[in-house]
Amino acid sequence: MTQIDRIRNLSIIAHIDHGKSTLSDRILELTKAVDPRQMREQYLDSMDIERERGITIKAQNVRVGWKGYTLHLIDTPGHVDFGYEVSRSLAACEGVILLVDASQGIEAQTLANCYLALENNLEIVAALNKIDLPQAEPDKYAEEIENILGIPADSILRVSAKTGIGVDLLLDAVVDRIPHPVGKEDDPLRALIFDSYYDQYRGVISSIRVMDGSISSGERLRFMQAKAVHDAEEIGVKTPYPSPIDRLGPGEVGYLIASIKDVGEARSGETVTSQIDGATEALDGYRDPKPMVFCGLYPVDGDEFEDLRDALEKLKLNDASFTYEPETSGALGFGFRCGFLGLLHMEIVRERLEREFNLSLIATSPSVKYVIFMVGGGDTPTEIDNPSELPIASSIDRIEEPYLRISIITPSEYTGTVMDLCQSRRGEMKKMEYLSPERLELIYRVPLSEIVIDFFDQLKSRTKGYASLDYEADGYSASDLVKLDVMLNGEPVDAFSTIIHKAKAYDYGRKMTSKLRELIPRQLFDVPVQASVGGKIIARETIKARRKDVLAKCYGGDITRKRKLLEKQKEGKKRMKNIGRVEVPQEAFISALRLDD
Amino acid sequence: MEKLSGLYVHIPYCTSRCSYCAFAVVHNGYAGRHRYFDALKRELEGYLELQGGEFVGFETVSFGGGTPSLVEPELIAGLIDAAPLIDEAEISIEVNPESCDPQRLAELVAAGVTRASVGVQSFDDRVLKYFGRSHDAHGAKVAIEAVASSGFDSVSIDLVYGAPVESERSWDYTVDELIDLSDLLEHLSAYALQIEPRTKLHWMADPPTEEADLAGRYLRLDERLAEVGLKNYEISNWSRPGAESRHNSTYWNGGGYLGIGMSSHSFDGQTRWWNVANLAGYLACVEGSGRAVAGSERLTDSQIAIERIMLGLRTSRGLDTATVAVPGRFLDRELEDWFEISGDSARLTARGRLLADAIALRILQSVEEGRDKDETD
Repeated sequence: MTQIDRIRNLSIIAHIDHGKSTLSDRILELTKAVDPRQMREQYLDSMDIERERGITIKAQNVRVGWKGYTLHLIDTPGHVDFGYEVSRSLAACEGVILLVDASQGIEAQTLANCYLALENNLEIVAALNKIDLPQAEPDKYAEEIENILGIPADSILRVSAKTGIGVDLLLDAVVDRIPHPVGKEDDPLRALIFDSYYDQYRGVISSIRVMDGSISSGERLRFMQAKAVHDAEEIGVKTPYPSPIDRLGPGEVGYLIASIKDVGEARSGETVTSQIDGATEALDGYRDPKPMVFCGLYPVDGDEFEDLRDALEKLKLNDASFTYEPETSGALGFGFRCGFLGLLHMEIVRERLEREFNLSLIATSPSVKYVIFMVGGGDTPTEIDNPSELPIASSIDRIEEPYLRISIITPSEYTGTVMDLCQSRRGEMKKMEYLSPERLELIYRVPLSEIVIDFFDQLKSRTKGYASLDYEADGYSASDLVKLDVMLNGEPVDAFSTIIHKAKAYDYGRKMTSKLRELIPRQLFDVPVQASVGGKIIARETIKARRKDVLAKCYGGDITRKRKLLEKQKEGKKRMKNIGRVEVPQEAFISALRLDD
Repeated sequence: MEKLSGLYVHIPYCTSRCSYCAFAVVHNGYAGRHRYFDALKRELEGYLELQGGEFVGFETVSFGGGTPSLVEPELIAGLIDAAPLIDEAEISIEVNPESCDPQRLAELVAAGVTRASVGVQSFDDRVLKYFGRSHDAHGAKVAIEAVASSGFDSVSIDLVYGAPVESERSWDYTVDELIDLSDLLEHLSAYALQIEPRTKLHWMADPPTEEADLAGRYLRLDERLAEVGLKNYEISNWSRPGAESRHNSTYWNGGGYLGIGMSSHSFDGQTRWWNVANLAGYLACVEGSGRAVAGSERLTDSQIAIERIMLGLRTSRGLDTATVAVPGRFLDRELEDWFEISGDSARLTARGRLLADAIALRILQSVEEGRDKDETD
């Protein structure tokens, strides 16, 4: 057990590419935690996807020693989709290092996390990174940080995580400025789980911070929110190698293994106490993560449906925050409706399914959860996340959709184009504030459904990559929403049904019908492709019938050739879906669903 | 086993290759034609021996190519003599306009050839040039007149429509010219241009003619031909009553035929086999072993059924009505418009013929679904 006044618990808050992982690597080297011969880049990012994308998804924590002090570095997920997990990680700390790229300045998401740290009364140790770069402007950005956050510019450290310059001074500042944890060893145990992941050999491995009391190996534990009891099979610290120890005292950070098979039973925010003489009140701040973005996932090859189910089950063990349930689509066959914390989360889950489980998937357009108030239904709404479940228009009193409060920090020269973008996405401006003469922050209230489709890509391309985005949920509001159906030969194609704002239905309908006209091969008869809203056709295209499909010559040897072609086409037709008597190749659906790319 | 009622003889020589042609032809090596004809005879004799004494004779012989009219008529005559024939056998030959001098034609008639098919392709010089033909429209007309006055029982010509350089007017002009000459003709073949791999046209990659335009040209031709008494009896073939090509009908009715010469195909009702497709290889094989078979396939019953449907749709024979309809109702309602039904036979209309391949596919599917259903019942 470590003496409590010798402990410093901290996270590093930084924007993607501002050098958090590199700084972590330098700290591991400087504190001799990792043998230089075993050092590899981004040591703490263990998933392939994390290293490739340069982001942290699952937080890692590590214990290092510095001049007689024990530092617990608590890594935080680097993306807004995982905001809740960030808040749990911060709850395990007394301070943070705010790391800002000295050539770029502070970004929207970093700022949001800083406010979060301030709300939690954490000490902020600010540092400008990459001062070795020729384009670094540390003075300018130090002043900006002072303007925005009130941190005195002369207290801001200057480091280069890449070369190691100033990292020792930064660690000294951590020890000096960040307070040590408080907590009595004699109190009943309360430990906060701030991250869990599933290991196929050990079961769930949780990162914990002991707030009060102490936890011992072998102890019988009660998980207060999950209302479950497990034995502490092993506790330990990561240095960064897992090292079992007998006991963790107040203020200490370590890991817990308790023969748990499902991360859903050891979620971030869970309070762990002793089964005997335990605490009576759980720690504040726990909540169930709620999926915000939904889509259907279907195997390209219908035979892989069971494989997809297995893969989802396995992935769910490791990621309690996504949801799935079976659904059937006339166009795409059997699949699952899945819910995600956000768009990146959706992309990551999909990519992991394809990569780690070797599946080939079709994803329907992302949608959100709508709240439907029926005529005469009073105040009890129905929730739907699949457009095809929307009841007929005449039975609906109103539809509410989720909104976000988004914050965009952009160089001022792009203000016009960013405002255009937000307005075109039905955004309502709340605030515009200059952070410095060159940069400003814009706050909008925007429907989530307008963000889920390529908003981030648009923002990046309109601002040459300079703008940054942060968002938080901002309740539900009623909107003028309609269900748009796409019909082939008069029959709706469920995979293309969407809920959309009335003002945008016409454009979307035109785009979709013309795309399908191109993608669906001509048939023996004319096929109307229509978009309809509430039974009214708003766009129509026609796939003209074939006029000629016959081989001109069919003598001796041609007969074999022609028959073989027919046999092949006959096999090919088995892979087509029949909708409204129209034969549609699977590829047409896949391409049409890529419409918004 | 079907008896081999037809004999196809492949003559691979051409003076030059046309831009659309992917056939097995050679434009040098003509000097070796005597050796080639010796090989043809040897191959034929080998098959005749296998047939034993029961073989009564071929009902039809067809010389195709290449340009069969390029070789001396005596070579053709020699081969006809070597083939046992029934009385009233149909003996046809493909001729090109540039090799239609009256002397040569008379010799072919004397040798027993009953039917000549002239490779005209078009009456528009621009199209002929595009195809790389070595004759012009005037030469074609002269040739048709020469063939018609040579004493063949039946005269046919070949046309090709849909060249990228062919306009609607150009095609209508060709049809006008054809109608003017139609008194001289018993038969006509007209093919939509098909761009085959390994042809000059494929390499040129001109934008192809629209489906709808091709369909329009076909339908106009069909109408005009009907007015002068030439009736369609296969997708690309029209004739006066009784003047249908008996040889080609054997292909379409599933009959047996023997093909000799390089690249030719044979069929005995169950097995199809084909010869080596290059001249040197063909000669070496036949001279060594008497045969030059490069491959064969034995058709399963379901493959025979597929071919029967596919070929039936192409011809005026049509399908058994029961294949597509039960009394009062079509099995696949979408197909109803493309058929005309008379008694036991369901035939494609002119518009339906243009879609024969797509329709064949649908019928095969519905036949298969019906079978699957029977199995589960």
